[in-house]
This record gives sequence, structure tokens and C-alpha cells, in this order.
Amino acid sequence: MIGIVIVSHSGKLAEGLKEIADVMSGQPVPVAAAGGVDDPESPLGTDGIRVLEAIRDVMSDDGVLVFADIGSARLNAEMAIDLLEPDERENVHFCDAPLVEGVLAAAVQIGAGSPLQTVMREAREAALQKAPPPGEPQETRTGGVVREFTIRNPMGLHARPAALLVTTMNGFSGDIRLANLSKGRNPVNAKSINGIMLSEVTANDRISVTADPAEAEAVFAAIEELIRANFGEEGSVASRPAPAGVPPRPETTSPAVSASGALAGISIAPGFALGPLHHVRSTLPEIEPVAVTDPVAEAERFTRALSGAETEIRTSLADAGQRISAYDRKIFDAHISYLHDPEIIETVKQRIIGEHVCAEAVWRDVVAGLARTYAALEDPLLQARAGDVIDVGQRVLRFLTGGETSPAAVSEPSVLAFEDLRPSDVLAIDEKTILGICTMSGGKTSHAGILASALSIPVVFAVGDALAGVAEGRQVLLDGTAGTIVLAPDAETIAAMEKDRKTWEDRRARAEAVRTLPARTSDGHEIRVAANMASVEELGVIAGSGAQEVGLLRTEFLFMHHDSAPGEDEQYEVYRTIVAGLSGRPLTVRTADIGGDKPVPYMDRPPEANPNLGWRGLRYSLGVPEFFDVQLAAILRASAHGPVRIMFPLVSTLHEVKAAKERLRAVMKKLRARNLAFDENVEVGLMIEVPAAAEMADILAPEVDFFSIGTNDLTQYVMAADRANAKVQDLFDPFNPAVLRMIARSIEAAHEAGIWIGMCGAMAGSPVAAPILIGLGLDEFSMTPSDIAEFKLTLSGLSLPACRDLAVDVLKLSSADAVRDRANVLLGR
Amino acid sequence: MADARAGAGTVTGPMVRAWIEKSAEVLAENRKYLTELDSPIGDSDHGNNMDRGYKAVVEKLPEGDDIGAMLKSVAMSLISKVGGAAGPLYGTMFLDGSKPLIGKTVVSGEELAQFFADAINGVKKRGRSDVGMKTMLDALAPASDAFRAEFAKDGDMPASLKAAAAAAKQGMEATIPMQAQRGRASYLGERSIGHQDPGATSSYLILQAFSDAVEEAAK
Repeated sequence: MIGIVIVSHSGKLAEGLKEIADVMSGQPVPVAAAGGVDDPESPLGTDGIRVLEAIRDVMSDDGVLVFADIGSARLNAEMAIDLLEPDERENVHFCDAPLVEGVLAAAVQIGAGSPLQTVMREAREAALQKAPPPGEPQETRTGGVVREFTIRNPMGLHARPAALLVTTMNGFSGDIRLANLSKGRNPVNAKSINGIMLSEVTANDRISVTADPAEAEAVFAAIEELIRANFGEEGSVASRPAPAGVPPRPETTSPAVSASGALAGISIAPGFALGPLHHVRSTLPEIEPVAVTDPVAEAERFTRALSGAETEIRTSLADAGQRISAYDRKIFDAHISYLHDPEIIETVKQRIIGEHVCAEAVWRDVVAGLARTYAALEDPLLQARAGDVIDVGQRVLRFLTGGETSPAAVSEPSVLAFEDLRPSDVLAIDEKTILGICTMSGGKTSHAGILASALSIPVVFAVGDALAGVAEGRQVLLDGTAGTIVLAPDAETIAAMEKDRKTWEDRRARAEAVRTLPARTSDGHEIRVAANMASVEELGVIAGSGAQEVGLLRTEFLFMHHDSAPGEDEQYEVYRTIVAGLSGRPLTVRTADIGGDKPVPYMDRPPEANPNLGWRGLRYSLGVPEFFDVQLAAILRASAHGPVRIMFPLVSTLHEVKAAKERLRAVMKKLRARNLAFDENVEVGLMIEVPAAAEMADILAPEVDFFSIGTNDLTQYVMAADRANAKVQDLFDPFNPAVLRMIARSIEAAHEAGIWIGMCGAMAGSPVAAPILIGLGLDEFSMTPSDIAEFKLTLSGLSLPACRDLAVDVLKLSSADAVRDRANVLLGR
Repeated sequence: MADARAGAGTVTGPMVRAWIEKSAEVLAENRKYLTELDSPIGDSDHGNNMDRGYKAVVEKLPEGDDIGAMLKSVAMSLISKVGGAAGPLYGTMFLDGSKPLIGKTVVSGEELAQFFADAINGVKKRGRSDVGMKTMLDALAPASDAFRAEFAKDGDMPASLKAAAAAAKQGMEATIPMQAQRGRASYLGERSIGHQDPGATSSYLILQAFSDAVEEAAK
């Protein structure tokens, strides 16, 4: 177990802090107090030899963290580490954290079985969490499942109960937030002891917990169990510290590891890999600030490192050649722009000159601060930018410190483990020697996630911190399809995997063979396969995906990442770039669908009790014409460069469609007056996602050129089931015959009016839904690019008459399960 | 001219022992003075800390003439007993300086010059500091330079150490107009200007003790 050494000027403070740490850690964590000097007359001070002995007292292979209060305590802590023998010193680190908060955060994390890097990070950030942003409105995180609880134990979530909660929550890989509703506090990370303590949850307070949908039920069950056990208060037996003499639980049962020894994460790229795990360091290294006598020369050295890094990026882009698309290159263009950011450069230079400290220490500090700022933002897309900042930061550091050039180079074929994958890591991946990639954190929407999804090797993200504890070189089995890593695969598992791999590889080879072919059933019925898109960065992936068109460009990204609404020219540039990148394939642009659940600061919207039924989608656009007109003008101007369609979200009435078209005509008129080119015959469509629109589809159809069904919202409204509420998830199912009947009615109305109809919801890419939707006559299927090859392969095994029979059948069934069963029979599953 | 065992160009084990003992005496005498210097810009404890540290040094000094072993012992006692930042700083200075001298009972001028260089590098690293930041380095660095220059002339050890002590004194006095950039004094910003640095002062006292001890032995 990782040990803690407390170095303080005061012996009493060190002892007292050790006492709190012992109580809070939940598990017996080795803590040594090394405070004061051996002089009864003036006992305040620090004794380097005492610190040295304390380190040896708590030392194990897991490492030791040394914390100090101020001045000489810090120097003596470092002195003591230097006095260790080289082989002892390897895993002993000085942790530059506030003493009290740092030691307590570390004790809890160690008790929870977290790896050294996590413990250090939590300890360092302990002080940051002391000051939550004041008075900001609470945000519901999109995609999380929320449940409320009442805390009943007398102590509330303090000390031991808080530590117990953190320990339990650390057993889950996803993000978990806790908010004290009774005291109106902002949500905090439920895995952070400081966050929980600062929420000041006392007995009878209501709390809300938000968790990832995939594990929400398990998280909530664990919390219910803690509440039932009174958080270990009053003689409960749950999770008390092991009594003396009982050995601590073995290291192998790290909390995020399931009984079968597998870590679960998010699937980014499918496939199987078996091989030794190789850890790639992807965090910023610790750098000792060293004094410099000539700060001006040091600032010049910094400037040279920046230009060296830029040259390196340009060279590796040139070397990558066709391996990455022109659009992926934009990510690295953005990296180059960081290297030119005047504010960052000025800050670093001023600090070098002002503080007489070496460039690498200042640069590390500035980059880490910037990355933290990004990571602290709620918007997952913005959060993901932290990875880019660290990526660039590391590159420059290598130039300043003369470190190795390729962190991902391996001597034998390996599965690489990253804390977080950076875009430049993806660029450096050699698919011949790298068997697969897994990471502790990261999401699909990060630049690296988008780039990695195009790799031909399995990639699994966000398996949690437990990955750091897996030994270097250990054989692991990476299942990119299921998004899991098996840590100790036995012969049986490996054999089963080999069989699965064979099946999967055959299937993939067959899917790849049809990827770029027209999407046809076995009897020649052809439909259109399109891709869904939510940012410019995805262009490269979409270009190679086999999509004939983009069936849905979500434009929210343009509005959510700005301090003010982007202007017409700015939006036009983005749309034009995408049109050009699609080389003649049509682009369907959905006008902004921003609702009360996705706050955009400059929009100044009133709060809504029920955002999903509120002022969102086309309703908002029609209410704020100055906003709508700018977007319409920008989309229209892009239509001069290639085929573009305009699509309105959340239509409920004919009146809305007419009003939207009226605005479109007005904008066209203005563009003509400005002599700006656009496609006079631009196709206009609407989304079928409100039951009213499905019911009135025959009335709406003559007004537009196409429909596109949004199954997520349609299901939510037809079934009156919130997709973020775990309690009603069984109702939130597009296979419900009620939803299918709405879809059938819309398709019929579209074809009656002679227009085409597509689908851009999650259902469109589902192989199980494919025969039903083909039978119902859907014309266009717009899906996640990674689903396309498999979808086309499924299609090639279907015949139109069989699909039609199925469609007629399922509309008469009574439940979603019955529909799926019937479809699976046809698919031979 | 010098005799073969301990010539004018070398420092012997007994000289080093005399230096250490003299340092302890001088620091005890100057305990109040150092504390007074420390009170406007520090914790008012430098005199007390150095005195306590050197008392322990003398108490634990090993028998024999092994110069490296003696200096290493000085380092360990200071690290343990000084209590303030001077502990790890002087500790690192003697520890880093002592390493090449373990087992030696006589040290040449070149070796002593190397001792000063290693010691100063150790202090720079430990304190993340350099000359001009109002620290002990402002006395130590010029002393090291002066020693090297003087010794290069005709290899006269007492004269070289005398030059080193004189340079340390000048360096110590030069800290008065400086603004502190390290340690507690740096919190005072411009208000640290006008005060002589206590660390530079104790460094001067220790170097002066070295010069005096070697000069007396050479008589």
C-alpha cells in the first residue's frame, strides 16, 4: 500500500493530521508523522533525518508520498528523498499539495486502492476544490441519469461516511456527480473527498446523484446500500477498517475490476487484441524549477523550442502522408496555433524573466493550468480540448528538456495503455506493431477519439484509473467491440476470444468489402446510407466511411463553444469547408436545436421547468429571427459550393413550417440584393420528432422536399418517457409498436406526397431495425459512420419481400420485445 | 618551503577538524548577531538554529583524519538539528562537497576548489537559487572564485583561504541593497532591501573560521 509521510514544523500538527488521516482513510493506510525538531526549548522546525526514517517506516513497492507544510519542511522533505538509496528512491515522491487537504485526500484515495498517479493528482487538486464557483446555476449534465436520495445517518457525509462514499464511488469507472439539494450546492465529483466534504451534507439533507446511464443503476444501488447500512455508523458491519492483525485486502481486487478480472470502458474502434500491456506516459512530467542567471537567454531558448515543435508537427504531418485526411490535419493546425498564442507566450516569457526560473518549469505550469481550466468546463467537447493543450505542451517540453521523441515506440507488438490519448499519439501509432489501445479516460467526442475511431486496431477508452495498476508487460485481452479489457485471460477465455476474433474478422472483412458499394438488399432494392455529423473534425472519418451523404449535420457546436453568437461569415466558412470536404456528396444542415437543457450564455434564455417541452428547436429560431436569419444566410451561401439541404428541427405545426419558409425566402431575397450566390433550388425538409408532426405528416409533406425522422425525440414524446430517467428506460424504446406506427404513418404520407423520407436517430444504424424500416419503405438511413459497413452487410442478407412481410407483422405486435424477437428471427440471430 | 606531509598548498585532517570546531565557536559567539539580522526579514531563528546545529556537529564529529567522513558527518548533523531552511541547505552543501573527499586525509588546492564548486552547485539545486537573489550563495560563490584565482597564482593555501574569506565578506555586504528572491525574506519584496542577509553572514563566518584555522595551523 502507498505510504504517506507528513513533514511539518510542528510535531503536534503532524501527529494530529495523522490521527485524522487514520480515521478517514477507511482502510489502514501507512501514515508517518515527521514534525518538529528534537529541542524542547524551540521545538518548531524540521529534521531531515527524522523525515528519512519516516519514509523508510512506511515504505513498500507501492511507493511513498511526502507532504510538507512550508519553507524548510519542503527543503528537508526533498533532502530526505535525496538521501535515500537510488533503488529506494524510485517510487518516493514529494507531493506539492496543501498539507492538510492533500494528506486527507491522499489517505482516502489510497484507502480506495487508487494508483499513485491518481492519489497525487487528487491531493494536488485538493485545494482547487476548496473554492467552488460561487452562485452559478446548477447544470444538469446531458446524458447522465439523475436520482435523489435522503441522507439519514446522524453524521451526514463527513469524515468516515464521506470517505466510505468516495471509496465506493471509486469502484465505478464513469463520472459521478453529487449535489446537496437541501443546501443548494453545485454538483461536485462524487469521487473527490474534498468535493463531498465541501457539499456539507448533514443528516436529513436531500442529495441528487448523476451517473453515466451505463452504470447508473449500479451506482444508485450502491448508494442505497450505504444509506441502508447507515454509512457504517452505529455498529454496522459494512466496510469498517479491517481490525489489527487482518491483512489489508489483496491489491488485485482493485475496485474497478469486476469479478472476472475485466475492466469496462467505452468502445471506440472494434476488434480483438491479445498481447503485453505497455504503459505510455501521457501526463505532463513533474519539473523541478531551476534558477537561471540569464533569463533573457532562457526566454530565447523557449522561443526556439516553440519553433522546433512547430517544425516537428509539420514534418510528422508530411511523413503521415495519406494516413490522415486533409481534415484531420486541421487538428494539428490548431496545435500550431497554440504555439503562436500571444497571451501564452507572453505569460511564459514574463514569468521566466520575472522569476529567474527555467523555461520548462514555467511552461509546464502554464500548460497544466490551461488544461485544468479546460477540463473543469462542463461541456464535454470543450473539456476534450484539454487533451490538445497537453499534447502541444508535452511536445514543447521535449524540446526544452531533450526527452525522447516517440513515447509510443515499442520493441514488441503490444497493447498500449494511456492515461488519456492525445491526437499526436494517434498520429504516431504504427498499426503494424501496436495491437490495440486502451485509456483511463477520454470520450468519443475528443479529437483523439474521433481520430482513433478510424484506426484498424481495437481501441477502448475510459476504463478508469485501475488501468494504471496493471503491471507493465502483463498479457491482456482487449475487446474493442465490447469495450473491455480482460486482465488475466485464461486459456479458455483466449480460445473463446480467438473464435470470436475469427468470426469478427471474417465479418469485418465482409463488411469492409461492401463499405463503399451501394447499399442494396440481396434482391437489388437500393436505399441511401448517410452519416450523422456534429463537428468539422469528423470530415476525415466520414469521407472514408462509405456514406453517400450527410443526413444530419448538428450545428449546435457552432453556438455552444463561443462567447457570442458566431456571425454569418464565420458560420459560412464552416459550412463551406464541410461542403468542399464532401466532394459533391449532399450535406443536410439542421438549423440550431438549442434548448433550455443546453445553456448558451449569450442567448439569455429564461429558465424552463421542462426544457424538453419548452422553447427549443425551430420554436426558438422563429422567436429570434435575427439569430435564425444569420444561420439561414450562411447555409444558403454554402449551397453555392455543392449540394446542401436545410432541415428544421422540432416541427409541430404547419404554421411553423410556413413561417420558417417565409424567413428563408426573405433571407434569399437579401442575398440576391447583396449579389451573393446560392442554390435557388436548395432542398428544404423537416424533422419528424413530435407526434403532432407524424400525425399531420400528410398535411406537412406538400410544403417540403423531404422528411427525416428523429427517433430519440419521437420515442420520448410518443411514450412520454424521459430518456435521462432510468426508472422509465423500459418505456424509452423505439421498437415500441406505438413508435413504429408513427414511423409507418410518416413514411406513407411522405411517399403519398411524392417526397423522400429518411431517419437520423440512433435507430437508423441498428441492424435489428434495418429489415423493419426497409419493409416500411424508408429511403435514407443516416447513422454514426462506424455503423455503416456493418449496416450494409446486414442489408445485403435481406430481401425486400421478407422485409415487407415483417413490417406488416410487427405493426400488429403488442410490445417492443416482441418486435425485436420477430426481427431477430428474420435476421437469423 | 612546505614539508611533504602537510605543505602550504594542502589542507589536512586536523586543519578541517580545527575549522569545524572554530566554526562552532564563532557561530555561538555570533548567535545573537545572526538572530538580530534575521528578525527584520526572517523568522528570528537563524542564530539559534546555526548554534544548535553546530553544537550537534561538534558532539558527533567522528574520530580520525578522514576529511570526507568529517564533512559528511557535519552535513548529517546540520540536516537533523538546524531545524530551519539552513539545515537542508548547509547539509546539501557539505554532503555534496564531501563525496569526492571520502577516505582522504590530505586535500590539495585543486580538490578544495572542486569541493567549493560541488558545494555551491548543491546549494543552488536544493534552494532553486542563484547568485544575486540575496542568499548564502552571494557569499559562497565569490569566495569560491577568489580561492581558485588566488591559489592559481602560487599555490599558497592560507593566502587563498584568506582571499576567499575576504571575498565572502564583500559578497555578504553586497546583499544589503539586494531585494530577496528566495525564502521568507522574499515575501517582503522591496522591504527586504537595506538588510544584510543572515545566510550570507553565517556563510562568511564559516569561511572566515576556515581561513583562521588553517592560518593558525600553518604558523
